[in-house]
Amino acid sequence: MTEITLNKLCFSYDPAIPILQDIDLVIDKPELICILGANGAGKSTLMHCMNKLATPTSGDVLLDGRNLKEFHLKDLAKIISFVPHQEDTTFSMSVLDTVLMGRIPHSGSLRTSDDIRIAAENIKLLEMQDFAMHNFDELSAGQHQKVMIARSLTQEPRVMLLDEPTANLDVKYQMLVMRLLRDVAKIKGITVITICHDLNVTAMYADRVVMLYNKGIYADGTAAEVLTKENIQLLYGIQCEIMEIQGRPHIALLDGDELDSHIGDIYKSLQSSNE
Amino acid sequence: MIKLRKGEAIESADQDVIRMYSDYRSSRWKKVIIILAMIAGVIVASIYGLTVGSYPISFTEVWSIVFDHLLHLGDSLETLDERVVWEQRMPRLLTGIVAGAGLATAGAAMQSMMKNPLADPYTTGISSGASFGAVIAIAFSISIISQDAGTTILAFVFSLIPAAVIIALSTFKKATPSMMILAGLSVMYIFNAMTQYIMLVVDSQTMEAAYQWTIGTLNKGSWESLPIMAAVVIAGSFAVLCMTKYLNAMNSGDNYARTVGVDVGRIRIVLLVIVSVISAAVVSFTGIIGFVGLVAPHITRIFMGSDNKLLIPASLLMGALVMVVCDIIAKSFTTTALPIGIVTSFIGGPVFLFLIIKQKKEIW
Repeated sequence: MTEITLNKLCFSYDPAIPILQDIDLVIDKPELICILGANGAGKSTLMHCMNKLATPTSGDVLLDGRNLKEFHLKDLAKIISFVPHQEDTTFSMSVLDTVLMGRIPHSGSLRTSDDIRIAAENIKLLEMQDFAMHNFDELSAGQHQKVMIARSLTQEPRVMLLDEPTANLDVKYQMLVMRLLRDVAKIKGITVITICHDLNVTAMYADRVVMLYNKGIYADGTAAEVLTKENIQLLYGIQCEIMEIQGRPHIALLDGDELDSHIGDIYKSLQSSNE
Repeated sequence: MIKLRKGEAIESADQDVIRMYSDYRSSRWKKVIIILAMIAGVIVASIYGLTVGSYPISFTEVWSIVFDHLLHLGDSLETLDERVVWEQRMPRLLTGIVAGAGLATAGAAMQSMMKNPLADPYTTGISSGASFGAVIAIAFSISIISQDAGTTILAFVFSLIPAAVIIALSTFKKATPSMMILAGLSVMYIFNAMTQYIMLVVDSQTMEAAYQWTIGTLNKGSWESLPIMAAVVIAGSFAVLCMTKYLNAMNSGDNYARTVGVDVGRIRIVLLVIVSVISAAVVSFTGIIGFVGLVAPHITRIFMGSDNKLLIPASLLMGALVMVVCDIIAKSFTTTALPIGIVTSFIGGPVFLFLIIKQKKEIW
């Protein structure tokens, strides 16, 4: 189990426009933590501060009490893995070769049998065994996502960071991936921190929900505690009804006049011509 | 369905895992066999290539001279046949192999580290630096030991300047592929402008000599230059081979590479230095040989895939093979000693177009 502590963390590209301000957060349990927030709320930036992809303007990130700045990249890679929002491959390799990249922090120049076994097991875990020797570029966007998660697991991390892992997945695989991440956290004792946009999938599987609003953490707790009507309205500016299904909140979004303030003039004129 | 067992991992007795493992192993073996076939191809092409030339010497005569001379190294060359085989054809052949191997290795590494299929060993302006160095050596008759050595040394030194500029810039700005390519292009335009100015003001004889230098040729290959070029190419290629796992990670983007522990900025600079030194060593001895460094890695990708662990050694062999075959063609179909740079581009271009059309897998 690895403890992550964010201490008065601030981040900005331009000092006049802060993106994150005085973030205090302690993650001390291996569970599935979902970060929610509107577009541009700083979710990805917050995640990037946790694995040295971004350097906080001020404040600290501590990993088991040790400042992240003191970690060599290779040592950090043995602890934290990352699933980017989108894969940025130029020259496509086979699925197995792609997943094997997760072994880079652990292996030398040569791949061992163990490396291949671990990669194959994670490919199987994500039900991609029939595509192991296929070229990565031949797969669909959803399959790409699954390969990236398998690659991340192959890194055998203690903390997994995922930037919208369910984007591009159909409903079944969104649920499957979230359940897998929850089980990974529980059974393997890995802390899984993921950025999510789907409120219901988050409500269904998240052990803890962290809501970003106005450059800081607005709410932090269980799905039932955080995903309230008021919080959702504040965060997204939309109306909703909350029900309880299978002991968890279920959010029914409502179409309303609130959206009008976000609609551009061209669309409004289109609406009026239709009337 | 996805369900984890307690403990570290699913048992490897899982049939799917075993199947993936054996599929992977057999696909790697197939690729190793292709590499062995390429080694055989280079050897066969070299055996034949040495017997081709404008001066007629029979196959058996050529190889009896070679073996005879190998058994009695240091003996003086008595006949014209011996001199043609040992002093002209042999260094030319070996220069072709080393130059092709070096350029293709540098090209493959450059494509992966720049994440750009259009990258080649000259992307960062190496060729323009080398041309400028050679042109000023020829134009101002700069001699270091000899005129030829002066040209080679200046070409080598100036070809490293673009890399030096990029390294200097990287202290102010992150060394991203775009920054490196654009900085290289800027230096290239400066060198080209200076080269063109010198070409305008010198007499026509010097201009012709300078122009001749820029066209890549294996004719300049000699026993004196070969060991230096070979030592740099072998050491450089070995260094690139040791960095293939970093190249693989960088192919997935800088952010991802950092999260698997690769210090992308530093590794990219180290690779730039290695690739620049390999290319500079080749260019300064042979002039600018195009095509091989760009296309040999792409042809190799069609057979080998893009895992740099296999791509780099296979590209090295493909570069050597392309060079030896093109040299055979140059010697077989032309009466004059046609520069290899022209042949590689002229023959290789259509061959590559054919392969692009024929290949079914999504590679680029």
